[in-house]
Amino acid sequence: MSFWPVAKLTFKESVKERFFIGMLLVEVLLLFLSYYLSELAAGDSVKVGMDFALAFYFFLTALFAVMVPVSTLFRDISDKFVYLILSKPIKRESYLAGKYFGSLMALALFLFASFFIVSVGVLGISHFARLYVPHVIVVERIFLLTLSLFLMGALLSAFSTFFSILFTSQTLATVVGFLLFLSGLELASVKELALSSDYVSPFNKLLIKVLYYFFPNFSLYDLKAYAVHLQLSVSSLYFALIVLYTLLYSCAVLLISTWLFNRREL
Amino acid sequence: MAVLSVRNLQKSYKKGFLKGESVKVLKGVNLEVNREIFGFIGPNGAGKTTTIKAIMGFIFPDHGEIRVFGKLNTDVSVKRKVGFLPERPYVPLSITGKEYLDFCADVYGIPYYERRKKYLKLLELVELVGVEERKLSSYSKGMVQRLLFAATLLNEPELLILDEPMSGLDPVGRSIIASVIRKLKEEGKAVFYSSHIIQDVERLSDRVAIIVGGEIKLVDSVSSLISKFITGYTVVYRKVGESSLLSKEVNRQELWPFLEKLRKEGYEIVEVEPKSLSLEDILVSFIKGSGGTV
Repeated sequence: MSFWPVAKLTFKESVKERFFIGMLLVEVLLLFLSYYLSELAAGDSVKVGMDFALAFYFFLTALFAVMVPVSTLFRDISDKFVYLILSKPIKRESYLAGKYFGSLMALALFLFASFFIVSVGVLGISHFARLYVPHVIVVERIFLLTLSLFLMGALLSAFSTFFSILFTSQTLATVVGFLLFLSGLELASVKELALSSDYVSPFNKLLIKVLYYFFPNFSLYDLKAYAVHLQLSVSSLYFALIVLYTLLYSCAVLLISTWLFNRREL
Repeated sequence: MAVLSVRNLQKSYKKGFLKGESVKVLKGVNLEVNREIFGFIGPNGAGKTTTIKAIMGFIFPDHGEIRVFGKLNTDVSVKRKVGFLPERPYVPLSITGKEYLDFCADVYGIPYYERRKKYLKLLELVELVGVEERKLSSYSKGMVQRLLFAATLLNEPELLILDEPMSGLDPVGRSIIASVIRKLKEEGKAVFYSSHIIQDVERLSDRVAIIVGGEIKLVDSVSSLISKFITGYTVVYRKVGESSLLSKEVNRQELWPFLEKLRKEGYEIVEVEPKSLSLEDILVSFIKGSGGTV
């Protein structure tokens, strides 16, 4: 359990940074923006407002999940705090696991606070638009979305950890992490489009298939539509599968990160 | 059994765009540290920090063996007996001093009921009592360094490895650290430290190693080393029955004939004071490649 002190310290360090409060403030500002954008919508303004609010929630979570592990790991390594940690009876793998779990704990707190902010914001949008939405059901659905965002954040944090070990530039690790997230969102659509098209060669179809199974699929976690459209449902099997997917994929990425980190000179 | 033993430690780094060029920074370093204060000195780029990084397992040597208390340095369990402070250490400034001490206490599994007493004792040692609840961002650099130094003592290490512990400290801070190092030695602990403040090394160390260009040039006790570098003597004497003192500086070869001459001429010898190179002069002579007369 030598990773636990590192996880605790990483959590404390992350939530005390200005970045943490800053992200929550941005969340609030974007909710206000969502409300004003919903006012401009010609059709179902509540759904448009909720769509915007949840999309911002989704992307801010991704940004948080990329930036926290990258910044904390890079700071440790570049400022040599890692020397103080690894001079204690802590193995490199425990250090990395501690950094990862500490970042996850910070993400959980961020999502916990965001859940309240977003729920209040979404209900506020419907209230000001003077349209009825069943509050309990909406909050339940936002809660489920929050859980799926946590899983997405867990996988994305594992990749951010990996990129922090792989690259020597913090900016590069952050950019690549976010690009991976964006491509992971679109990969499923690209695959469907390519496979159904007659213009794509069999080789390219195969390549896209390989890429689809190799790269993480972040669209699995996108339950925004479920949260907004009350007629949609998510089965518990689907949720169990994305939990399993996250666990297996994150473990694999963390194992590779550990293997690399054990060979890295500090 | 030596507390720390380094045998034939070699390390090279790849340089250049394609990493084609190899630069050898450690060329077979051999060291043995017992329960003593061992100073490790050398010019910038001599390999002091690289040696310490290799000892701590932060970098991987090309060749050689490092043992701490008889076990390989890669064995994490030996770190329970070791305290380490890097050069210009950094800690996340958003946490408080106590949170950092709590982190260290968590790592060593120190129970909560023992912590308060331990923290107080250590903070007293480095004269930081009363600031532990403050965020580290409000500490001066010297205070951070003293806090981290105190934290390295939390597990009561048998071996303390310090990379430039005095650098960046004001004279008060240096004196605090020096007195703690002396106290640790009295308790039978081993302290291995690098420094470029030669006066501190001369004052504190039992033995020193001089490293130049990745090679250990010399390992000796400070007193023996300085005596080997005696350049001459100041002889103070007077005529028997007179009170006024006379003095003359002579070199090593002239000393005995001069003393004999004084005796024959009826002079009383009051004092013979050796004139030696300082440790700093000795280091400079090694750097310049003169090598001295050891």
